[in-house]
Amino acid sequence: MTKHLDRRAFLKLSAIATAGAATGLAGGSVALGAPFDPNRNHVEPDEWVYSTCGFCGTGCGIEIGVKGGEAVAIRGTKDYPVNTGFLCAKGILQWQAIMAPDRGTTPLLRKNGQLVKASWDEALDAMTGKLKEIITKHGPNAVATYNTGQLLLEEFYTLGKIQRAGIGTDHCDSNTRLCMASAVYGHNRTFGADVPTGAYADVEETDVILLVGSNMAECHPILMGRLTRAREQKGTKLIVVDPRITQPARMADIHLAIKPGTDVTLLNAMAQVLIQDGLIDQAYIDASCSNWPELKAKLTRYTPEFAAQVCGVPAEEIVAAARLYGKAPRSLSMWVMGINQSVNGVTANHALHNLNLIQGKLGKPGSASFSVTGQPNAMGNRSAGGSSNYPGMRPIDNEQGRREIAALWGVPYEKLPAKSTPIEKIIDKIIAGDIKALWVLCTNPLLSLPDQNRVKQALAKLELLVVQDAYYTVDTNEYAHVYLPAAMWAEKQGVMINSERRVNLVQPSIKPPGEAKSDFEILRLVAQKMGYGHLVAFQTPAACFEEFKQTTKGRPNEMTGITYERLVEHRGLQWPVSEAQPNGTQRAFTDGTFFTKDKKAKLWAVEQLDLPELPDAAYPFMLNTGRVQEHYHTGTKTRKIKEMNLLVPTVYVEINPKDAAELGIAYGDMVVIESKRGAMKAKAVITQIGAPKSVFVPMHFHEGPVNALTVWAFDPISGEPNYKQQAVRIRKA
Amino acid sequence: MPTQLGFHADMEKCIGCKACEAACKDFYRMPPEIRWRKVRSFEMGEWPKALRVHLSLACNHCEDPACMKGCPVQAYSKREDGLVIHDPTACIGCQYCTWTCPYGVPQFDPNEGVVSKCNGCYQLVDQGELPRCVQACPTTALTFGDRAEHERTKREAVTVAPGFPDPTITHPATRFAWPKKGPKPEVKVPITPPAEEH
Amino acid sequence: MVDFFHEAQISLVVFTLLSQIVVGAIWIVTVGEFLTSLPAFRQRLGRLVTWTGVPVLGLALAFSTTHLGRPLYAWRALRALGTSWVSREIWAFSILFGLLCLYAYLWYRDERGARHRRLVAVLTSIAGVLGIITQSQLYMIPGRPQWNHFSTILLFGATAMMLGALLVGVITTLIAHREAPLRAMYQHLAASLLGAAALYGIGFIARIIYLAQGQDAAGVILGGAATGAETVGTALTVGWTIVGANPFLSSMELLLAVAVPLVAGLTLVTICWHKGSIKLANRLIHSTLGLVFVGTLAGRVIFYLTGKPWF
Ligand SMILES: Nc1nc2c(c(=O)[nH]1)N[C@H]1C(S)=C(S)[C@@H](COP(=O)(O)OP(=O)(O)OC[C@H]3O[C@@H](n4cnc5c(=O)[nH]c(N)nc54)[C@H](O)[C@@H]3O)O[C@H]1N2
Ligand SMILES: Nc1nc2c(c(=O)[nH]1)N[C@H]1C(S)=C(S)[C@@H](COP(=O)(O)OP(=O)(O)OC[C@H]3O[C@@H](n4cnc5c(=O)[nH]c(N)nc54)[C@H](O)[C@@H]3O)O[C@H]1N2
Ligand code: SF4
Ligand code: SF4
Ligand code: SF4
Ligand code: SF4
Ligand code: SF4
Ligand SMILES: [Mo]
Repeated sequence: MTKHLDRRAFLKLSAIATAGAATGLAGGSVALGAPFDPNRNHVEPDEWVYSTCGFCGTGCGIEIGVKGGEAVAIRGTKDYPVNTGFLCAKGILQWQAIMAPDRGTTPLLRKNGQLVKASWDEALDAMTGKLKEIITKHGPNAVATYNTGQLLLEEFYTLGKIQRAGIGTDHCDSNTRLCMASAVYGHNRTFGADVPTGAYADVEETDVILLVGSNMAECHPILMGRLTRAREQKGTKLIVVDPRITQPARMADIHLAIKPGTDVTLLNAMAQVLIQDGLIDQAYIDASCSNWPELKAKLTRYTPEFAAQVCGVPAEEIVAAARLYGKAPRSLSMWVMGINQSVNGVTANHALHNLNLIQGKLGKPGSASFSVTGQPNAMGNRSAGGSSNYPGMRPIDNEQGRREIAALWGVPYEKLPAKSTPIEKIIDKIIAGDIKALWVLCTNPLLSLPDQNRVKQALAKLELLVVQDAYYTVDTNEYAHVYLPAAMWAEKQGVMINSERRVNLVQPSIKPPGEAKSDFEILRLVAQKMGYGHLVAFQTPAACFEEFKQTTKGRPNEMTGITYERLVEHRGLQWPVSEAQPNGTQRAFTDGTFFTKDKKAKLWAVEQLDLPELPDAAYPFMLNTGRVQEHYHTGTKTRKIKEMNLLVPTVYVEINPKDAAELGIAYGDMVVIESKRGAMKAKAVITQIGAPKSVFVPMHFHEGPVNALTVWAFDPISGEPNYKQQAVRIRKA
Repeated sequence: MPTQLGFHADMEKCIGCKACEAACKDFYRMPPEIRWRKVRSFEMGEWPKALRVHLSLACNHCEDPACMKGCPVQAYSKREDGLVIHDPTACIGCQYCTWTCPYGVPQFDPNEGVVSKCNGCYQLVDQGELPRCVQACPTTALTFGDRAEHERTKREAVTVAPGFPDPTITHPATRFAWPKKGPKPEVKVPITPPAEEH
Repeated sequence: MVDFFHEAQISLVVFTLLSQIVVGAIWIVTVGEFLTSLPAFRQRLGRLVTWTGVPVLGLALAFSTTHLGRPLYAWRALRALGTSWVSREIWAFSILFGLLCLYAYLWYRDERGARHRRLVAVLTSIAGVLGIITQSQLYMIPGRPQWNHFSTILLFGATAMMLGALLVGVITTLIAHREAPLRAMYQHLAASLLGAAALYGIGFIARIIYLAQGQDAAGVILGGAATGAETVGTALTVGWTIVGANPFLSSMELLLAVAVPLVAGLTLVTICWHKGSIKLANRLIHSTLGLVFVGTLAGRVIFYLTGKPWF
């Protein structure tokens, strides 16, 4: 009994009304007497092109099926070590996102308030003209760039060069700030370099897995498949720390449904149990770790009882979890956004590293302290100097590193900025009027940054907003002055790097739509128009990669042993890939030495910081945000996959039945959710998987942008937003 | 006993990733609304001990297929190996099988004017391979084989699942293993509405 | 709206109702064949009823094919007489249609063929009975527990009798004017109407009770799920909820398909008994047919609506 006559209903109606004429006789391949062919709609590609999945940090190997110049299918690469042919649902169906009708086919320029078609020359002239004007008038720091974890490594490298050696601005960042920043700081401060320690093979090798703040079933389904198979085959134990009963939590041997934001206390208490029970490796600590006495002293007050009180889980379960973890010969920690996206992001990363380091459970088969990445090429950005560091993982504020890069690039050392600015500071500086131009590449900040109203205010204030995106319908385009249509990963060449440092090739399988160009080409064009042609002398991604490789020589992420051909041949190679390690490095830090000055891993004695906002009488609910398996980020890709969008058609809010009953809300009702910063509407899903007085909203929907509600608060060290805890109130719409 | 091929769905291992469903859709390319395989979600119990479980279902290739008995044009046939096949070229689109099958398996497509359903990937099965959905399942929650074999070898192979219509109606060949935590098959549990859209 | 029509299976609502009217009317006329007391207008009545019946049943059959995805292949549905109630239904109604045509032709001939005609009348009526049986069996399936109940056949049969009697009544009002035989005839009609309405009432209440018990059987909240045999309760609950969500339809059904014919039947009896005005009786019959048709229509719509997928 729908009020509107949608397409499906119309089809039904016409089927009822005109069934005879339309389908009675004809019926195409199902006509009477036609040969019965169960595969009548099947489309068999003419050719399969080796590539890497464009969605998540698992980094599955894929093959893109091409027919008549169009992408028509995706399948898993059978002998690819990450996924052995498996793919998740959106991985299989992602060809539809490539072929979507709203792909950008020409540049657009804002004229009289409207985005209108423009030639590449016009658009690039408008962009670079304005950039030059702003730089001349206000200096290079009036220009900011904001990119992503989803471009290709060569593009990150090229962009890094342009923004630092060309424009020379301090204001560069990427959406990995919203994602991996806390992990990066954790790695840097503990190990002396941003080196993820583990390998996916550890999932099969280990005896116990501790999954913290990771909804692996929805966000890294193929890894979850590996984990589930390992549990089946080896009886691998699973401990899950998550305030919701996610699928991993449902399966877990121990699920600690802690109060949001209390991970540090829990992990400290677990470490304290290990110390008390003598489940630590003193020899490893002495040889390979620094700051042990401080940590040990700090931990004494973290009794299970104390933690139980803070975290809201029974002390016995904390002890049981610690012992299960500690007694296992091999144990593996994995975490994602439940840890990173918090004011406690960096501290919690430290607490996790501590837990593993004091047991000497690092760099050994089945034992790792493993931060899992979100985007398919977050690691590529981090390796190539795309946002907050210099290529070869040289810290931005390290003079020697900058001198090396200046020499490699043939630019004056003084030119290279010694600072990078987190996106939240960039937003504030735009509002303050210090930054006039923003160049957004391959990210959709209008939906993905916290506190959307503040972001809108900033975007509206810009003199120049350039949006470089695959779809012209991308939400941020609402504020753009110049839109540049980008080719998608399936249309270009380069490399991606996944969580386990596996570098793999992405290859062009089809032509970009219309006049769209690869980000690599666009970057080179911009550079030439800006007068930085000398910086982008490489003509092809392959040539660019060759140049980039040189910056990694002797660095933690060395890739000098990589060629595109070798990547295909070896089904990806895990960096460092050097002369010494020509076939890559499965696990880091196997010898117990690190990249710190004293070659020791630092045990940071950390404590939990208070959450920026707690529920109160006016806003009594704790709002948690995140993902659902059917959709990806701001939905620009997955919402164009019909099957995915049918499964999860719109934004919803998970509410515990107790609260729903109190508020008179039923399954499917529209609900208004408000925070101090904004409001949105969502459909109610009444579910027992969340605690009473807490709600969860996924981040994928422009019609219900949860970031209209989220708090403007950040980890004091990493600058990563605190997306997962804020106070809201809800009512029936 | 004659062979009766069928699926086994393990609710402990199934994470609801729907790769099975996508693999089927991707090969057969039926319209988006037509789902030969459907992963359903249910919840059992209460916070903090609640379980959300997933049930990946397609045609149950029943031993007593009501779809086949009711069809006025004999569009259905049951193979020696037990698979129930629907021939759309024979179908007149009366949709009666969408009523006789309690499992919502045959689905009507107004554009083609016929129903369609999972065919057990019988062509692959004939070549000794597994159905596509089963091949695609990354957790091994979904398996395929002789029903009797499932009953012999699986951790659990019962005929009932949450909400799964009374198996005495058509004697489905599908067997289930329940989640390890929480209620057992013989225990009556309150189950909140299916959270199809989560 | 479109979805509503689709879910209410409007093609089938029209097909079942129209075909049942015709069956009921044939039953009445067949009985009439054996009632020697019937007056001289019998010939005209027989002709008119059968000649109305042929196109109405034809229309009903034609309409039923609009339910099909591929109506032009409808003839293929005759193939599975051995297993399928759909096939049997189509056989039954095809035979009925054939016999009805023959019967109508025999009425057209003259009074002399009366013996053959009676035989054909009986056969046509039996075909009608088989039609109603196959038609209800088709819905009385475990796959749709909401329909899988004796009330289905009761409601179908009662609908046929009720509407059939009223149709014959209306046709009678159009052709006969002499009061005495009319009164006798109206009393017969009123009796059929009362009997049918009572059956319909029993079916209606039995159905309501049947659907309502689902909740106890399943012991679950709406849309929820039990296991094994309990799941049938879930299906009934789905049906029950739909009844609850459409109070208008169910009250229309109760009012117009049960209360109105009962009252009208009693009034008709009273009128005839007290030698009341025939005009009044005629008007009563006209309006009752209209109202009862609307009532059974509402009932049929809710019948189809309750048969929602339950899994
Ligand atoms: N389908 C899908 N997959 C994706 C993505 C996607 O958009 N869709 N995005 C990719 C990207 S970029 C990323 S970063 C990853 C993210 O992957 P995940 O981090 O696994 O996903 P999230 O849903 O953001 O959050 C994970 C869990 O953190 C929990 N959590 C919230 N607060 C706390 C807390 O205080 N402590 C603890 N311990 N847990 C808490 C949430 O309840 C949630 O279950 O997924 C990647 N994969
Ligand atoms: N509330 C809340 N907010 C969050 C999070 C959360 O958990 N909760 N998670 C945060 C995290 S971890 C992340 S990673 C971010 C993600 O946030 P975003 O980066 O904003 O998310 P995407 O939708 O992936 O945006 C990528 C954009 O790039 C476009 N694109 C795709 N391929 C290409 C290409 O090859 N070239 C170009 N130029 N464009 C392309 C896509 O169309 C899309 O518009 O969201 C963050 N925001
Ligand atoms: S798990 Fe991640 S990388 Fe693998 S197919 Fe799914 S989205 Fe792609
Ligand atoms: S599940 Fe339904 S369609 Fe499949 S064999 Fe059984 S009754 Fe037939
Ligand atoms: S819809 Fe087709 S397959 Fe189903 S019963 Fe009717 S004719 Fe047979
Ligand atoms: S067996 Fe084949 S047809 Fe059936 S659901 Fe699986 S993939 Fe689809
Ligand atoms: S692919 Fe396997 S784990 Fe995923 S939903 Fe299907 S059955 Fe469940
Ligand atoms: Mo992310």
